[in-house]
Amino acid sequence: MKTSRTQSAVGHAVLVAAALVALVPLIGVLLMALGSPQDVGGKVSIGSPHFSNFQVVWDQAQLPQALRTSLLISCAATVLTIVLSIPAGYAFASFRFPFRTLLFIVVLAGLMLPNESLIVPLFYDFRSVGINDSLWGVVMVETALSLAFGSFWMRSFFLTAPASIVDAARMDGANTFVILVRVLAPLARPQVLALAVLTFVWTWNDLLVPLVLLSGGQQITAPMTLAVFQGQHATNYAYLSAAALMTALPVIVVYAVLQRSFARGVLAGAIRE
Amino acid sequence: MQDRPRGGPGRAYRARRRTVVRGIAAVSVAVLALAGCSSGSKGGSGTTTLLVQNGAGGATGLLAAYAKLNSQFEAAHPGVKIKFVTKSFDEVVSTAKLQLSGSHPPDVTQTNQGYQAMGTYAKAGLLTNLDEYAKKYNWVSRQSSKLLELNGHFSGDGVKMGEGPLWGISVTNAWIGLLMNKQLAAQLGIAAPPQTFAELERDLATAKAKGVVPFQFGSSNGEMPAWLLSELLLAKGGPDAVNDIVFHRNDPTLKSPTAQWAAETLKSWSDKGYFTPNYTAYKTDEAFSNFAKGKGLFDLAGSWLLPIPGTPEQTKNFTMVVFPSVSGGGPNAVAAGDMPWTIPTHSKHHDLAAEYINYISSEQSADVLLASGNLPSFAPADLDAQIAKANLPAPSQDSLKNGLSVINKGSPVPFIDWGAPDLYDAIKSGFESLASGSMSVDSFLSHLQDAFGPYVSSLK
Amino acid sequence: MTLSLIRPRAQLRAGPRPVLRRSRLVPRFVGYLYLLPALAVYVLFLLAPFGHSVYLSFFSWDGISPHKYVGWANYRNALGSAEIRSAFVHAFVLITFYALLTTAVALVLVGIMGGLRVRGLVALRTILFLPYVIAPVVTGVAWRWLLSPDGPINGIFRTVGLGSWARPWLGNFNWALPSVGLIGTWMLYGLVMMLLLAGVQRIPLDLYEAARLDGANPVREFFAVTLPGVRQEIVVVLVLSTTAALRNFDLIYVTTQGGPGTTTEVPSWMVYRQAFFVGDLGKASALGVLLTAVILVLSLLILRPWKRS
Repeated sequence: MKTSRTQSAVGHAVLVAAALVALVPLIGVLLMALGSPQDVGGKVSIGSPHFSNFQVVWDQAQLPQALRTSLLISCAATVLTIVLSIPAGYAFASFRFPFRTLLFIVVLAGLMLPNESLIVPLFYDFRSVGINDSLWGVVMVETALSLAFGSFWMRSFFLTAPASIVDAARMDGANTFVILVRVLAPLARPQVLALAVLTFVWTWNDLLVPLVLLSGGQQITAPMTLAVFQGQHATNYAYLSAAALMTALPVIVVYAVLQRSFARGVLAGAIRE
Repeated sequence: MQDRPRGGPGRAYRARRRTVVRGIAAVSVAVLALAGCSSGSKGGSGTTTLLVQNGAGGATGLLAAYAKLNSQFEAAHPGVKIKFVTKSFDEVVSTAKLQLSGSHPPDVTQTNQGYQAMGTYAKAGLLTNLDEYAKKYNWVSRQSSKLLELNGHFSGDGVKMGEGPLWGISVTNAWIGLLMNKQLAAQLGIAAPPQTFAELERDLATAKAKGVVPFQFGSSNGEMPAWLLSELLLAKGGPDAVNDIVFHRNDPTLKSPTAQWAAETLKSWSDKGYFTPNYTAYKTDEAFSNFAKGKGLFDLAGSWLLPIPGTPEQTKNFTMVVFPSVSGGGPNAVAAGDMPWTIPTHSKHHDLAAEYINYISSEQSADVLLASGNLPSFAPADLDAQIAKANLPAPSQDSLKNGLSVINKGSPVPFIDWGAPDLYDAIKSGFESLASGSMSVDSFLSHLQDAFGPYVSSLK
Repeated sequence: MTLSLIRPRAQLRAGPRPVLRRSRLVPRFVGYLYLLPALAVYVLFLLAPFGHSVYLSFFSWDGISPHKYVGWANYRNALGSAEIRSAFVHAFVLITFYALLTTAVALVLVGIMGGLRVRGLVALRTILFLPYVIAPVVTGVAWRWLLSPDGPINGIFRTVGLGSWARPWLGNFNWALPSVGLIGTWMLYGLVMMLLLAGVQRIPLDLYEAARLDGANPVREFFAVTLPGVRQEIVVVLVLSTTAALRNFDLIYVTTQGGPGTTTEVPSWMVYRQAFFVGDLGKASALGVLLTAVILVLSLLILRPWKRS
């Protein structure tokens, strides 16, 4: 029944190694962030740490305003993506309707559209209807970009959802909507949380869409603040790394918080009623 | 806790659903609240806000100088507030077209030089013709006509760089110079920086023979190959060898004897091992950083990379001089203004914008820029006193003096890759292939010409 | 009611049936009601601009001047250029690292975690996810340091007596592309693991218990229970990481800028440069359409073998 001591030791060793591999380059980033702002080139050195870099970055990069804008865009896009993806995935997985496969492929293709070439026509389209420089325009585009994955991901869940639970609910006379809301959506919690984290991260880290769509206005998002430390020829790596860590912090917090509630759900054990 | 990643979720799902719904509701409320806050903080009260966008991200010293100039400008213009938006060079270049053609561009913005940028915008009528303002404020007296042509003039059809109306004006300048480690040189028996190209090659050979890295080099981001090629063309063929290519004059070609000589020189330097070992793995700033650590006799550097880090004792061993020419004439160097300041056609405050540009390019501003170690467009009368006052390390002082002498007494020439949009990438990839031996000198030049020739004819 | 009855393994492999598809109670068009809101957003904000971009691919346009119709010239030029063709080849090499290697590594990790009581799981997962969260402009710089000619990785090779393995990884004509690929693997493996774990969560514990009663060791248990259980997630993960491999221009931008020579040039980098720096939207759109076509074909290939039912 139980794994042996050796297996456990080997397994833990592999996991620790995997964590170290993830961490070492990030420690490099941290050391760069604490490095001397006078240094040129991406130098990683262990000297006296310059904690003041974080203060400088906070003051110079208009971070408070940018973090607020990013939070607004990311939360809105995440909520919208989830609200739209769950029914879309449900439709693809559980219903038969004309052109289902074709529509699924079309949605899947959305995962692959290179936004580098899309974003420019989008800018002109937005300008012609007067929604350039609007945060909601950015939210809608980010949502559309995440929806392809969201529908695909939720469809994968609904495809493998235990049939017996659904059957039981149907025998109780529940309609498709009740089954979705009362039975399937709660079961999908790990999937929904994963989707929420991903959408949030994608939206938060995306530079190109807000850069182009907010190009005329005065609003900036968190990744746009990194630009203050990147030059035409020279980059201030100490400030850049400090700023990157600070802009990544909210995402890490979101992940850690969501993960805890997610783990609590899992502890409850196997499916029973 | 032992939270095992297995087992299906298993709580009463009604409770679960309530949590999810509550979570979504909470987030939505937060979002709405935030939206409320951010829309509430707008709106002004009788003041004029001038939105100024710059592409000087990363240049901490320069940005500090601008901050000072902005507050001086605001003090001199009651009721005017400068909103100074800093972006990276790449961001300004990549979004300029969208911004300028959009409904609310900045009132003043830096716009990149070149056919793809200023030329295209001038042709499309997206920039304000500054000729009247130039006359009103007498900008010709401030900057040499060479600098104004290089950075601000373009024919209205976007075809001829350096001719036609004035669309923008640069405020600071940068130049490409040769850094030398004087301490290493002395150890190698080299008394002074090279005055001619032959002396430079002799010094490189001496360093190589004695086991010192002759030339700190890094091709990873492509800048140094483009600079070195520009400097070599300039050294052999004089300013016109570069100007003809960039300004598309006199049937330019990169298959000229001068270009042949430059490519052969690049190849022979690489073959003789003059460049840093593994230079394909280094970027410009990494090569500079290695040079500053005392590795290498020479380095080709942009003036913006200075000051060299270190104590005055350490930095006094370095100097920055003009890359020597074959004939010994000069001083000529690759030197260009920062992205010129322009006024978009859809700017809301044209006259105020011009006044702002006039202010930051004025003589008073030159002093502020010089004090922060930046190279203004003209030398103040009391240059030496100003430089001494700025209290800069020795190599930075050399850079300011030599750079100003190129701009005012010699010939500043543009970067060769301004000649065509694909030229930069062609030089980078071609150079590495040439040096590794997978491309011959002839095919290297054809590779460059393919990126250049068709573009020149396409404009005609 | 208990759901503890163990389904026969064969049925699990074939994948559970779509739930409501055959039901007579559900009219044919109800599916649309669920799909419509998402589809509307999707068509309006993604598909329409893509259509616009396809249209632009037949023109030469700098974004300001009038369009100039050029027919198929942009496509002919793209397909005729050896540089662009080799960029697509590079993209395929990157897919091997981003998608195949990453998924393999993540599956091993998930397999190990499935069989263990892991202490500090939340912390572990957060750590593994970090590489994906921090901006590539910065992690790329850290990797340049690790992989530099006199950086730590070469240092390790020299200390353990493998000095001949030391090389300028990102500046080497043969090793630059695999090095970028490995950085991609590093960025993605935590994310992929997280997605796979979300699938593992759903596998009923009973299946594991049944497997153990059958006397399965952890390895067999992994192949008999875990792997079939996360089949759908594997498909998603492969599609996602393939897409990431083809869109990785920001990593290329910080680490190699396409060099040395043209050995790490990839299509997305070229699209970006064409659209934003060279400024020919027609060419950029044509390249973008080609890239989309390639990814679409690849993804359908990934999806196909899994669609047995």
